[in-house]
Parts: sequence; C-alpha cells; structure tokens
Amino acid sequence: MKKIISIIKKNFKLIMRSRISALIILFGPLLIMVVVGLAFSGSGEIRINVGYVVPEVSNMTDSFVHLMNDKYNVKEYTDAKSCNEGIASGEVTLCVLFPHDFVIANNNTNEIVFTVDNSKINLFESVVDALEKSFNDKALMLTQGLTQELLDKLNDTQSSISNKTELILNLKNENKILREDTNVVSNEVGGLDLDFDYNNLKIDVLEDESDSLSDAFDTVKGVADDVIKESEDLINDLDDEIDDMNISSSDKNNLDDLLNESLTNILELKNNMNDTGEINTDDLQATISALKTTLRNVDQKFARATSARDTSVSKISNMDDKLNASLIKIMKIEETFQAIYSNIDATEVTNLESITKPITKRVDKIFTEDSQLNFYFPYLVILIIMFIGLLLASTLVVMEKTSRAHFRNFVTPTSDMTFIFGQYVTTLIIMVIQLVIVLSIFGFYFHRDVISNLATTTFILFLLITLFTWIGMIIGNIFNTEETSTLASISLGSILLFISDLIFPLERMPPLIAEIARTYNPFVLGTELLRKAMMHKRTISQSGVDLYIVLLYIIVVFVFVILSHKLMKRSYLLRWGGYVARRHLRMQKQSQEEKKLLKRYNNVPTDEYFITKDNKKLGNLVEMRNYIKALNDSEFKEYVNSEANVFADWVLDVLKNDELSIIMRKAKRKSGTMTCLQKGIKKYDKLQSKLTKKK
Amino acid sequence: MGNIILKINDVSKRFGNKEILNKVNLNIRSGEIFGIIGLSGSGKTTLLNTVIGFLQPEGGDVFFKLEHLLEYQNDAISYRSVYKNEDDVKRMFGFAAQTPSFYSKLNSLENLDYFGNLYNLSHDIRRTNSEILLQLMGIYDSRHLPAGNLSGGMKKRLDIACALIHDPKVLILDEPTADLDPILRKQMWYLINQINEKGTTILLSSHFLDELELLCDRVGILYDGKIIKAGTPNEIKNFYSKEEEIKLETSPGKYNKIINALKRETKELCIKKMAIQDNKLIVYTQKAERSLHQVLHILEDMNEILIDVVVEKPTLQEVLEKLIEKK
Repeated sequence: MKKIISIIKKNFKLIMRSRISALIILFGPLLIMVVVGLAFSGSGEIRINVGYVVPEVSNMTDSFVHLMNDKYNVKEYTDAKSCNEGIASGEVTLCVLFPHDFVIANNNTNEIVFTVDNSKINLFESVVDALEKSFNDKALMLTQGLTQELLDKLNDTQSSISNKTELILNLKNENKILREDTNVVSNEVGGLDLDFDYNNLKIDVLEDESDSLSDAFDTVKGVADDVIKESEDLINDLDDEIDDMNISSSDKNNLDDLLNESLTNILELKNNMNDTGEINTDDLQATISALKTTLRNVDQKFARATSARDTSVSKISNMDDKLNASLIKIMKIEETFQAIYSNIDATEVTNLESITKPITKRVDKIFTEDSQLNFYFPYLVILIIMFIGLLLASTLVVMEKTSRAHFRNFVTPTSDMTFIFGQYVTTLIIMVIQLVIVLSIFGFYFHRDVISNLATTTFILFLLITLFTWIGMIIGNIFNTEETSTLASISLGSILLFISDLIFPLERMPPLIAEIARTYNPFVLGTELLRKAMMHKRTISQSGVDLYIVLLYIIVVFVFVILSHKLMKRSYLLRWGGYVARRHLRMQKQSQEEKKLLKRYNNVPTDEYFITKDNKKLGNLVEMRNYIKALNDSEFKEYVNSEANVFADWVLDVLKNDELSIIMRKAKRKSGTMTCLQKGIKKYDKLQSKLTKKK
Repeated sequence: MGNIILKINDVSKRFGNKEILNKVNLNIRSGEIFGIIGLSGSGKTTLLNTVIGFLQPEGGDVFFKLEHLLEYQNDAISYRSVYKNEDDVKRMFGFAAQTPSFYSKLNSLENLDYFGNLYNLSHDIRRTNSEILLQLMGIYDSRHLPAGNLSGGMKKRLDIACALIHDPKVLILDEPTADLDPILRKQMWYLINQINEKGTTILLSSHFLDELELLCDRVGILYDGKIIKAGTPNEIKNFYSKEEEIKLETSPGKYNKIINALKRETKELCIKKMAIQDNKLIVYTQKAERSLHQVLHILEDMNEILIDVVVEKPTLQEVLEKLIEKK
C-alpha cells in the first residue's frame, strides 16, 4: 500500500510539474463543460442559413419566403446553380427552389425542391425535417383553405340539389305534358287528310271549258257590244226624241238624267265588258293556268305535306321516344341528385379540422426541460471519461516506460501489481477530480439535479472510469511512444464513439452492427447505465444486463492489463538487451573501423605516397596540408579544379577515408581544402588518443 | 576481503547469432572492488546486466549469497540463483547503469524518497539514508533542484545514490566515470572508495584502466566473451609482462639519439622496446636498474639534462594492448 501511495505521489508530482498537463487536467473539464453547456443549453431549434430561388414572384412564394424569414437566415439566389454553390461554400445549409407559376391550380404540381448537402449527416435530416415541417404547416393551411372551399361547395351543391328537386319535378311534369301533347299532335298530324290527286281535278277540261267560255264570252261580248251599241244608239235616239217630246222641262231633265245615267252605265258596262273581256279572258286563262300551276304546286305541296306529315308523325313518334328517354334521364338525374344528396348527407366527417388533421399527435416528454444539456449530459460525461481515461492512462504508462527511471523501477523489489495499481489509482484520482468539477458545474451553473441517485451514479462512474483506465493502460503497454499511444487511444475512442448513438442513431445502422454496439460497446453501455441512473433514477439492481456486461468487461480487461504489463516488461528487457547488444555490436564495429582507418593512416606504403608535380612525396595529411599551404592559387588549381581533385582521390584511394574524401571534393579553393585537411588531421589525432585510452 | 558473495558460473549470453558472453566464470568476494576491463563492445555491460538478473543467460547461472549467510562457507545452502530469487537480489544489490536512471522532474530528495519507498524503507531510514547519501555524493546543497537540472557529474552521483538508498551489499556500476571530465572522474573514484570503505562490495566496469588499476582490488579481463584473467592488477601485470618501464623526460630531448645509443646494448640490457610518447622516452626492459644506469650515462655523454624519470611496471593498458596483440 505504501508503495502504491508512493507511486501515486510520484505520478502527481510529475504531472503537476508539467504546467501544461496540470492546466489541462484542472481546466480541461471546466472548458469542456462551459463550451458544451453553452452549446447544448438551447432548446434544440435549428437556426440555419437557407437559400432560396424564386423564378416568378407570386403571393404564394412571398408567403413561404416570409415564413422562412421568421425562423431562419434566408438569402435569395438568382438560380439553382448559384444556390448550390452557396451550399458548397457553406454560405447556406440548403436551398429551396420554388416552382414557376406557383399557384394552386388544377394542373399545377407546385413542387418545391429542397437541395440539401446530405454529406452533413448529423444535420441534413434535422434541417430537412425542420424546414419540411414549416412548409407542411403552411401547406396544411392551404389545404385547409382548399378543403374548406370544397366543403362549402359540397354544401352549396347539396343546397342546390335540394333546391332543384321541384324543378326536376316540373321537368317531369312538363315532360309528361309534352308527351301527351306530342301524342295529340301525332294523332292530329297523322290524321291529316292530305290526299290530293291533281288528275282528279280535270284541269284540262277546265282549260278547255275556259277556252270555250272565252269563245262564248267573246261571242257574248260581241253580242253585248252590239247590244250596247244598240243601247247607245237607242239612248242617243231617245235623247233626241226627248227633245222632241212634249213634256215638261223637268221631265225632260229627268229623262236626260236618266238617259245620261243609263248612257254612263252603258259606257261603264262597255268599259267593264271591255275590261272584263280583256281581263277575264286573259285572267281566266291566266288564272286557270295559274290555277293549274298552283294546283300542280298544291299537288306537289300536298305530296310534300303528306311526306312531311309522315315524317312529322315519325318525328313526333321519335320525339315521343326522346321525351320518354328524356324522362328517364330526368329520373336518373333525379336519382343521381338524390344519391349525391344522400352521399353528401351521409358524409360523417364534414368538419374542416377533422378532415385536414384526421390524426393529431401529442408528444408527452418524460422530461419537461427545454434544454438539451440534460439529455446530452450522460453522453458528455462518458465521453470525458472515455477519452481522458484512455489518453491519460496510456500516456502515464508510456511516460513511465520512456522515462529514464523506468529501468530503476525494475531493479527494485516491487511487484508488477503495485505498479499497475499505482498507475490506475493515479488516473482514477485525476478523473474523479475532473468529474467532481464537471458535476459541480453542471449542478451549480446549469441548475441540474445531480445529487439524487448519487450512489448509483457514483458506482457506475467508478466502474466506467476503471474500465477505460485499464483499457488505456493496455494501450500504453502495447505502444512504445506517446504519439502512437495517443493515436491508438484516440482511434479506439473514435471507433467506440462512431458506433454509438451519439452521432448516428443505432437504429439506422445495419442490424448486426447495431446489436454489437448496443450490447458490447462500452461507451453505449456506459451512457445507457448513466442515463438510467441520472434521468430515470434507476438503482443498481435495476440497471439490468448492461451492468453485468460492464463488470465482466472490467474483469477481462484487468486480466489483459496484467498480461500486457508482463509483455511490456519482457519487451522492455528484450529491447534493453537488444539495445545493449546493438550498442555492443555498434561499438565493436565502430571500433574496428576506426582501428582500420588509423592503421591505414599510420602505415601508408611508400609506393603509395602522394607524389607532387615537383616530385615531392607526401605520406600523410600533415605533409599534404603543409605542401598545399606553400602553393599559390594557380599551382593549387593544377591539383584541384572543376575536373579533378587529386588530393581527395588520394585520401579515398590510399587512406580509404570516404568521409574526408567527400568533404574535400566539396572544397574548391585552397583555404577550403586546408580546412578539410586540418579537420581530418584533428579527427585522426582524436581517434588515436581515443583508441589509446580505450585500450 | 571476505567470502565469495557472487558466483558467476559458465554464463553464456547471445543476442541473435552473436555470442557476447561465452562461459564466463567469475567470483566476487565480499567487500572488494572488482573491475571488469575489456575493449569496447567486449560485453562488459552485458555481463553486468546478466549478473543483476536483468538479462537471462542462455547458459550458466549466477549465484549470490544471502546477506545473513555471508559468514557461512557452506556453498550448497548459502547460495541462491539470481534468477530464482529476484526480490532478494533486488534488495541486496544496487545497480547504476551507464545512463543515469531517475525522474528528471523530481528533485534529488524526492527521487531518493521514492526509490527508498520501493525498497520498503521506513520514513526515518529513508530520510537518514538520503541525507547521508546526498552528503556523501556532494549534492546535498542542490537536493531541492529538479534532477534534470543537475550537471552531468551530479546526475551520475544522484544515480549512484539512488542505487545505494537501500544500503545494498553489492553495488554494480556500469562505467561510472564515462562522460566525466578528469576532475569529476577523480571525485567519482574517491566516492566509490568511500562507499567501499563502508563495506559495500562493488562490481564495476570501466574504460579507464589506469583508474581501475589504482582503485580495484581485483580486475577481470573480458576478452572474446570470456574472462581470460582475473586477479589483482599486479598479478595480472606480472602474469603478462615481466618488463618494467623507464619513462624519461630530458632536455633538449634528442630521444632518437638516445635510442640509437641504447640500441647497441639492447640485448645485454634486455630492452624489449623503446618508444617516444608524450614527449617522453619509454624504455621497456626486464633489467630496469641496469638499463637506467646505462641511460643516465648516455644522457651525460650527450649533455642531455634529465628532467624526470619514472621506473614502473607496465600499465594495465599496456598489458591489454599486448594481450590483444597476442590474441
């Protein structure tokens, strides 16, 4: 126990002495709580940027745009393409494309198109749902308007039908009367005697008679003329006679008058005779002719009349049929009207609300808070526990492993379990501190209830801290650097997070994955347990199978912690041994190479000496350096130029010193070459003394 | 020096195809300073790591005597395998690798306290030991500084202090003076001596043969994976070389002439070799007295002024060079 406490104290000292670590440990959860609390303290309404395109402005488009304006940040675009570009650039989250000719009409589908970036998987459905809901509400209003119109029309129809019943009755009666009249007419028309035979009229005989009459008339006329003439003569004679008569003047006058009148009458008669003769004969013939023609016409007309009569009778008969049919139709109409009326009458649901909203739903929330923070809190807590547990535990283990002191820990008589528990308890204490901070802020600042069901909550948190700490320790044991262990921790945490329902509902995953996640994902198990404990106030015994699974996990993971620790220790020792071996081999090799180099340098055969242009022999770098020092630039260039560097060649070929040769080739000037040589000389001297000392 | 505290029996160790240790046999006595010498890459570190139990040998075993049985001679009961009694080994042994091993962000006191805790030392003992060790190592004044801020030498000393916090019977040091300047090296050796004077057996490896020669009670030469010879420095020197060295420094220093003059009498004086090194003339001879006598004569004849003369046995370094040449 003392040792564990000592290890814990040591770990805390190490952590606290790294100011950044201390800050992160203390303030990390604070920061997380503040940020997340502020982020999730809202009611969950989505405030998004919406783009829209209105090809034709209308009342409808205006009303929808106005609706969007109330709830979202809207921006108008000229066309769909620019709106889509707005989505791509992040200016807007989705585009609403209104149709052309946006009016409610029979042939208008009025399709409003939502263009949405469905790559934002955590947002796009909510966004579409939110906007759809708004639009659906508006559509519902319109539907209600139209429905009301329909209902009114139905009522009107019913009333009209009701009003028109008498009319139909009248129609029927009139129909009946018409039929009767038609029958009468039919009978009368059918009874019309239109028999007429022209030939029976013997017009020719009449014509002949007329001719005879004309002849007779002429004769008569002739006689008449003679008579008249005679009468005239008589009158004239009488007139003359009168004068000669002995009678009173008055009687004379009277006789004159009479004679005059008679003369007048005779003249008139003469005239008339003339006229009649002229006229009557011609007229008679003409008349007879006309009569003949007329009679012919009449005959034809009678024929036609007969035909027409027959036709009329037939048509009247048809009319009768039609009237009958019409009556049937009227009766059918009557039936239909009655049926319509009955149907309309029989409609049970005529209330607008009932039609447009036949089913209403009400969401009764178990929890009445508006803020989402409550609901996300278990996830948040487990998220903190998971990531910090994994990261902190793995980092502590790796820090210990890579620390210089790790070796000395192995040299002490301390069991592996002591070290394991020391690390575990260190992590546990740190996480408890963080959770206390988180819960305090949650309770105090956001006024949430954390005290009730504290025992169960605490127990569950303890289990989860233990589980993730030990998983983190396994990671720390497996990986050898902080970077790789951090990566592994983050990767594992991310995997557990992604196959949880925090980002994506489990119900939307393939069934197998969902089942695995639900049953075996410690993050999901943890959040469920915590949620039940905090939200539903479940006790430990009511926590269900999830708790047993977590406990089982803890036992299994603990076994792996021990195994991985032992493996880590073995690997460390092997690496230590390997390090020793490699160091041993490296030093051996280096030592051998250095000896070779030095031997070569100290024992250059005379025939391999560098021979200068003036036949001097140089056997080592010192001599070479001294010789070069005495050369002028042009003389130096004979040895070292862009094409060749004979000094470097000699160093490589004779001294077998690759490194020095390469450096010398880079030097193009005398001073540079001398510097290289000087360095080479120093190195050889150092090597000499080093080897001497080592020996 | 007491009984054998550590027995290295036929220990072989290979890494991959490369055999590093080949049936190494060595006995370390209680209370001694034993130095392992060898060329770079000869396997010194491997041997030390194997002794502490850090590396498992492919063959052989390492036995140690439990602390409370140190006085007993009976091998069968007294000795335990290092590999089967890890905790006992860890309690009895202290180890300081070539790279210091402590927490850079903790200060010296905290490091000592922490490691002392891992050895189950009580608070008082930890405190006492820490104080003593910090004083001994000469880093007491900087005990509150983060260990990472200490100088190279101080880090080494802290490392050794951490190895000694539990008062081990055996202290294993892998190249304790590597990367230290001469003054610090001297201090380190002094320290090692002091630790040894308190009764701690020290097993160390080093490149600095001259220091080993002075400091170690016994040395072992590791060559080609084997301890080819172990013994006191003088025993080794005598075993490999009967020659003595006459080191002369003269003015004006016409050593070549002196060499030429001596060459005539090489056989008579049993002069094996003459060399000019570090502005001194070194004459290797089996008859040091006579040779010196002759040299002085020559100097007088040549009007060379004698500045300094030393007659000594060849150094371990020289012995090793010779040995390697032989091999």
